[in-house]
Amino acid sequence: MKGKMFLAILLSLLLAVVGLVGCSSEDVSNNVADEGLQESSGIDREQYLNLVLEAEPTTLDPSKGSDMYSNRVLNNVLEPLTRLEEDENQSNYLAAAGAESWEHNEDGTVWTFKIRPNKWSDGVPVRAQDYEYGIKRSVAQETASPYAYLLEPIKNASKVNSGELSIDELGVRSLDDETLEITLEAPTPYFLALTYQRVMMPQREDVVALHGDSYGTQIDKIVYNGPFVLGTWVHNSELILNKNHNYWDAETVSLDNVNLKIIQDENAVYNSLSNGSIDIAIANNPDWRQRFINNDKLNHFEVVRPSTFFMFFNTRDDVFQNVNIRKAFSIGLDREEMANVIFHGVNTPAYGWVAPSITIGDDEYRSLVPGPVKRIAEENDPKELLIKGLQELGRSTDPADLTIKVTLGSTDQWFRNYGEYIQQMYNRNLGVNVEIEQVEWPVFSQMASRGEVQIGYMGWGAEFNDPASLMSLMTSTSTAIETGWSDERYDELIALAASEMDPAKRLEYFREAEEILLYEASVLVPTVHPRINIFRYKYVNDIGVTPLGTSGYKYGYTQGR
Amino acid sequence: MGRYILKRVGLMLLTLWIIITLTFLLMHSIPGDPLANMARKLPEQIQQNYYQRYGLDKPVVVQYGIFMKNLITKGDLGESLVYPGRSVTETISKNSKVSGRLGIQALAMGVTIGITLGIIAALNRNRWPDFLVMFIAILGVSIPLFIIAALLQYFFTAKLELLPTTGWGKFKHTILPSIAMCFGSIATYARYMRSNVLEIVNQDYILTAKAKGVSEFNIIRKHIFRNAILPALTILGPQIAGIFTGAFVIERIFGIPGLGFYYINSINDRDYTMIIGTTVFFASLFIISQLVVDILYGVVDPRIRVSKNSR
Repeated sequence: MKGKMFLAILLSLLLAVVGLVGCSSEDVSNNVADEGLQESSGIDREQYLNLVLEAEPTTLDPSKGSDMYSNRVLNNVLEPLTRLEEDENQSNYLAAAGAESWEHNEDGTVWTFKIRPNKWSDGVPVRAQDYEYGIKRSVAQETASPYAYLLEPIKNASKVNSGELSIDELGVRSLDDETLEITLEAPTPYFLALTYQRVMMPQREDVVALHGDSYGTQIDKIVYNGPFVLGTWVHNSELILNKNHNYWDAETVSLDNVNLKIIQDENAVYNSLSNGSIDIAIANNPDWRQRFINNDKLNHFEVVRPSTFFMFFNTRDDVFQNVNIRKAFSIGLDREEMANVIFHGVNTPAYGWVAPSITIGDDEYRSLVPGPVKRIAEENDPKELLIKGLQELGRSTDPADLTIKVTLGSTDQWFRNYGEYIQQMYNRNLGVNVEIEQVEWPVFSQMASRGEVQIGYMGWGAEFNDPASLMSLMTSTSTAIETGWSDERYDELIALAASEMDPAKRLEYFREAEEILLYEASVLVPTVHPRINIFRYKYVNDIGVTPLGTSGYKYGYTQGR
Repeated sequence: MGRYILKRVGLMLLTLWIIITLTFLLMHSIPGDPLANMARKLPEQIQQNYYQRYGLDKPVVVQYGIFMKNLITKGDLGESLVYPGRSVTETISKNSKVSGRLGIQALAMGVTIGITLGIIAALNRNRWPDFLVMFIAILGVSIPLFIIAALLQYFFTAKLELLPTTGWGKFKHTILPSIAMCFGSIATYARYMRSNVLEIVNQDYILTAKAKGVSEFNIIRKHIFRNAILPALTILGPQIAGIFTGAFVIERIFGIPGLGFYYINSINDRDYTMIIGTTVFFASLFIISQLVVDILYGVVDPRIRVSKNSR
């Protein structure tokens, strides 16, 4: 009897499964019906995009979280004071957004923003107080915001963040519903680059108070005032953005829906792009990249990210205390070859510390200042430099007697290949022996701060659009990259550049500082700047591709889908 | 029976407590913390604020005390350290449902097909159906899951464009992942059933039944199947526990919002509360399923029932 029951259950399960599989194909055909009909103006009648988000946004609370995925969503659902938009030549410019206009006093320490009339998604008008509250909440100690340090230029921000001063002492206040005044510690040339960061986005005090810690975790636990509102958020699966009809510039927004699918697997992303279930994707894998380049339905954009991959020396080490040895190891790497071989021609060689696409004034810094490392290579032979350095240290001048260790902060297979590659390259170009050590990232971090790393490998991306974002990491007070190196003149130059409003003068300060860092002291070994290959169906228009841009999907539309 | 279950439940709680304590101490002893694991190093003050906010500045013993108090008095597993504001309990209950749905579907398919294939193979021993089934079984065990999944995905979504590549919510989203996931179970159960059936067909009572003129079908159904299915139950229990914790690889490839993601990533991210939450969840499920299997055994097999009662 029991056996019968078992069999019956099993059989019915099997039937159920087979039956369900059988009726599945009808859903698929519906997608075809979605294809938009064209309107007389030329743009598709149905305006929507299917995009990919490579990971789940940690939170949509602007004050918390620091991941780029939530940044991407926040840029579309909230209205920062300004936006970094891009023109047809893919260069960025600052545009008014939540603020209609702004002005600053003579020395640039007091900024006044005129807030634009706008509405929250629940109909409540947007006020200057909402921006004030957003900034204050980000800086407040109890919020524990990871990005609060970006707001350091604001008067008393550091002291408020450490709990020394009360939040009322922060240099931010609303003069009335439309006027926001921000007072800075000192003139800060890149201050406007902070006005489109998440930590300065507006927040509604009543909504935050209502939801407490869970603010920003679900669609109904946040209010919106950007071009879009969030209609659906299935954690780790998808987010759907709907057009915000309360938005001040709703006329400009063409897209009715933007579906953000969370797909972490690279191949799944590639498969999705090739069958058209997503409209835009990044494809850096060499095989797939070639396949997409050959696909004439796709546009291809190559964009260099504002990041630098680099190796750094522990300058307190017995060997690497010597500057000539450091220089030898810097130019002992053939960056062109690295970019082509280990990075499959995707990334671009790096000879400077400040990454491409970062601007100073209106110009790209890197196009004005060539990377200093190239000159070391032109003027010297790596092996001679090494031998000179070994002599100065009183060590054996036979490079074969020297063994050094490169520590990598990942146990990944790719890093293993990378390590072996570096090993071979140093052996070939310098004749030294290289050991490779692979540890997990947190272990690496700990080892570096204890000075247990001889040469380490890292990558760093600019957090805001100014050379200071990367250059200030190397001052003697910063602990971001543990080299043990410090230089008074360097500190002085960075401090000067931090409070100088004239772009031409700042350029000179940064040029000299970078020269000290990479040419004279050779503390860092920039290797490559990561580049991404963006593929986009040709019917997609006006979606920004620059890595720093924050215009989001506001201007996007499709034509001829 | 009642006393037996009571004793087992007591032991279960003890085991669970040991697991929680060990996990808690072990995870705090791995280098790094949720902040150190972020790609960049944050300024000192920012780190301090964060530690203070989440109580990570206190000694581990104190943190353990607070955690246990909240768990026992409120059943609260705390707030995720990586996803601010999200309750661990809620995350587990939501995502385990997704994993469970997919897992049950895959397991049902795998077990049914596996058992059927196993019986077919055994009854046709050393003939082509047997070789074919064993070939499939060996493939199923030896080809890594992610390869099967990637192939299925490429073929059905990019080439044929029949099914959605990724996503969750509709039945069509579950087809490919279920197929990919059931390969392993098919292989396991087919091999298991084959050897069990082979053992049973040589038993005397089968010969007796044959001699009495019972039809082939009834012999399989009443005598062979019933006896051969028993050992398969043993492996079913832990597997059922396993389906709720999700299949990390499958979820990743098909973009499914299951628990597997949190189960694996919480460790990499050092999301302490999520690590301990998923561990408690999985450990409880596992222990409970063991108990259920043991009880079921007694129900299904009279011999075990008798021996327990006489104890």
